[in-house]
Amino acid sequence: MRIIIEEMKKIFHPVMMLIFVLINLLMYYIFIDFDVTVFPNGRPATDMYNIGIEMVEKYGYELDEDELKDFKKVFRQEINKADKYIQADQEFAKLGITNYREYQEMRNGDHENPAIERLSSRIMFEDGVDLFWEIPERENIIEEMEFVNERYGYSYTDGKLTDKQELRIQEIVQSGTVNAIFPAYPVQDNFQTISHSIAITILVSVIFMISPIFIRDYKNNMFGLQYSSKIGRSLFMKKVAAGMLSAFIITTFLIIVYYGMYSTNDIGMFLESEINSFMGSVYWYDFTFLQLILMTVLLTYVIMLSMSLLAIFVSSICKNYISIIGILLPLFAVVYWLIKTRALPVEAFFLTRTQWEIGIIYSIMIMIPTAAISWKVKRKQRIDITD
Amino acid sequence: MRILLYEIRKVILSPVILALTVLFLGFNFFLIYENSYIKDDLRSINQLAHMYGTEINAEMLKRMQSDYEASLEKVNEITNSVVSKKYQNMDELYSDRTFYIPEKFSEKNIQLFNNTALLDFYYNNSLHIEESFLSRDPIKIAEYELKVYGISGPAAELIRSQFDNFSERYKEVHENNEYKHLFPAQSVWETHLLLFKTMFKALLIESLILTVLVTAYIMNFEFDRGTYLLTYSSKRGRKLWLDKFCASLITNISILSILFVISLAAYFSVFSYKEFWHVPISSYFNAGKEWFMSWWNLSFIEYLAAAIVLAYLLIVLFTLMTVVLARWIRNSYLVFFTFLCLFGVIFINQGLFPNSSILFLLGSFTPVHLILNSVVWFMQRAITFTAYYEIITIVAWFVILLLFVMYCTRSFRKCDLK
Repeated sequence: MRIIIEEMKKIFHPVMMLIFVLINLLMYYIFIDFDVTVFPNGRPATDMYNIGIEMVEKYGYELDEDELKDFKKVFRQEINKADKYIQADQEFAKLGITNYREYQEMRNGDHENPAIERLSSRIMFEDGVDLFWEIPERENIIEEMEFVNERYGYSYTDGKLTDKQELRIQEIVQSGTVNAIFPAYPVQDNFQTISHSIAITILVSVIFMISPIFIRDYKNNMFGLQYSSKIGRSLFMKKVAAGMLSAFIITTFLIIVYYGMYSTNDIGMFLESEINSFMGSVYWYDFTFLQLILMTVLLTYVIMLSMSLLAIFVSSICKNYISIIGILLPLFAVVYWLIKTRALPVEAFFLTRTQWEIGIIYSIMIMIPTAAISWKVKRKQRIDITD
Repeated sequence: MRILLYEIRKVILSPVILALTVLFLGFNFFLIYENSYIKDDLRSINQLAHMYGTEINAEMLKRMQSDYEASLEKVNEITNSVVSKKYQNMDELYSDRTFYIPEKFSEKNIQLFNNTALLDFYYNNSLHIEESFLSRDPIKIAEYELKVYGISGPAAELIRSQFDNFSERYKEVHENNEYKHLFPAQSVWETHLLLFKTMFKALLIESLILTVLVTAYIMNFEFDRGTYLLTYSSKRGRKLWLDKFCASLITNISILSILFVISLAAYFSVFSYKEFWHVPISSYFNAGKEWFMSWWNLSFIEYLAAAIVLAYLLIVLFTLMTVVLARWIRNSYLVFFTFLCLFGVIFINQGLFPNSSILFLLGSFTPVHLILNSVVWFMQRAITFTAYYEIITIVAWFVILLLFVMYCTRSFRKCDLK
């Protein structure tokens, strides 16, 4: 145990810590800050988010038929309010518009009319009237709910579904999970980008801290001394353990810090919502949003630990710092691409992602570093001390 | 001389640098392959340009028109005989949903449709090119950019004071008909984006990574190997530092050349630019969302050459930067990550200043901003308000970094080795 602690002291060297902090400050500022401070981002994201909160507060986590009726009532009231707004505004009268429906028809039908475009850009962008932003969103929600049997799941899968996907959609619709209230548009999308950025930031930090673990000893000509000591070659395993423990500590620390920052985004009311909602996308599993976040954290751990094991292996076979960076860079690029496109939830559990693909990705990610390290352990037992 | 060669040999024989170079080349080939679906279209556009010349003028438009009408008639004959319908233009044909059944037409007919559609597109756009060009007011675009970036106060004043140059250049392009040339259209094929964003950015970032690795490796070789006490106390001694410096410059430039020559050779052999080498880069067909005319009257090949020269200068700048870091940090691993941090700090420096201050504008005059924005090099833009943006940046940073390097050379001569 003492050796592990001493090894960890070497990993958390003050100079390394300094650069670690600098890397994290920069990456936070460049990649994460925006999604934390600007949420929901602009319109109609804000309106969608507000409607979502209103629905959850009023109806709970599911929307049943009575509640849908009530929601429609609110929608009609909003239209009435918009009608009043239009009647009170002189400019609408000039264009001959007396109510919201007429306004909408004119906008949809007549793209070339600059007067109506100017008017709508004034009320939407300059005055920022909430009503005119919220009504289309509410209309969308009602439509999505009413046509849930016909449309749910199809917009995300360009219409071509396998039998299994078809079955999964049927299952969600028939079990009523689909009635869940979960405004995927700002909430899930925001979580998706921020969880990617967090994973990549942690990945860079962990690789940076762990990679020099063996090469440091090699550079200082320590191997001769270490191998001939009493603890001898089993030191290798202790160092691996120290590296993995440090990686775990760094990951935990950064996850707490960054997800702590994410928690200031005010998404608490949606944590209990089912994610397979008519307002969102289709997943292979019945998760609540909180479970989805926990799965993401779990898989982030898996990626980080497997990558640090790989970094430890690379460190043990390289003879100079440049080779470590040169080997880890392409590996980092591959994992970066995986994180950005498929390996993490949200995408990993989407209906469009086959689950065996995700399974293969993770088994490779776990198996290759483990196999490499155990090969190295075996080799270390009998390798010539001068090699 | 021999020492210099040995220093270079250290890198060239290092398997990691070689492997990374090959890997990067492979990645560039992949990028080309991934976008190669436009290559047949580009060949047809070249044929078109070959037939009518690249310059748009009345005589050429007339020839285009008669050919287009003849071609359209042929198309209508075919459609009339097969689906008994006639069309005003190709748009109408393609948007007619009842019509499009490929099996009904032979390969040759479809080829004819495609060629006619291409002719239609180029003829109509060339016919209205002056109106389209005039509808794009550089001042209005600049004002819009100011609004998007939220620039106000003295910074906005400074940019507005350059508006005269903006409109002067605009007038010049209008008068000397630089914009009236055929070119693969940005709105459809996005070749400028492909070459100067996808390819150039990949090339630049790749050579940047190799530059930092190579420089850190050579400069810190003795410290990494623990041979520094021996080498620096020999007769040649501290002068080795200069050899190492030259060796890293030469290696970086060679690696950049290898990457550029092979990747661009592959690019231009896949995507044909045969007819367009001497077309001005400010051709209105080349206008994209973020750019539509360059500050100088450059033909495509001149623009490409200028871009390549700029790439070389940038790589030299980053070599100098790494050399300075490697002078003070005697561990190549830390040099690499410190460089990344420095790169990041320079990248976000504009966040430190309010949007109204002139420092905010000057914050974009860095090699980092240059290397990340190859797609708009030498183009007229509000945020980099002057025509000399690239030149000012390069010269200023060269002066600063050369001073630093000189100081490093001097201080290394007497520094403590332990």
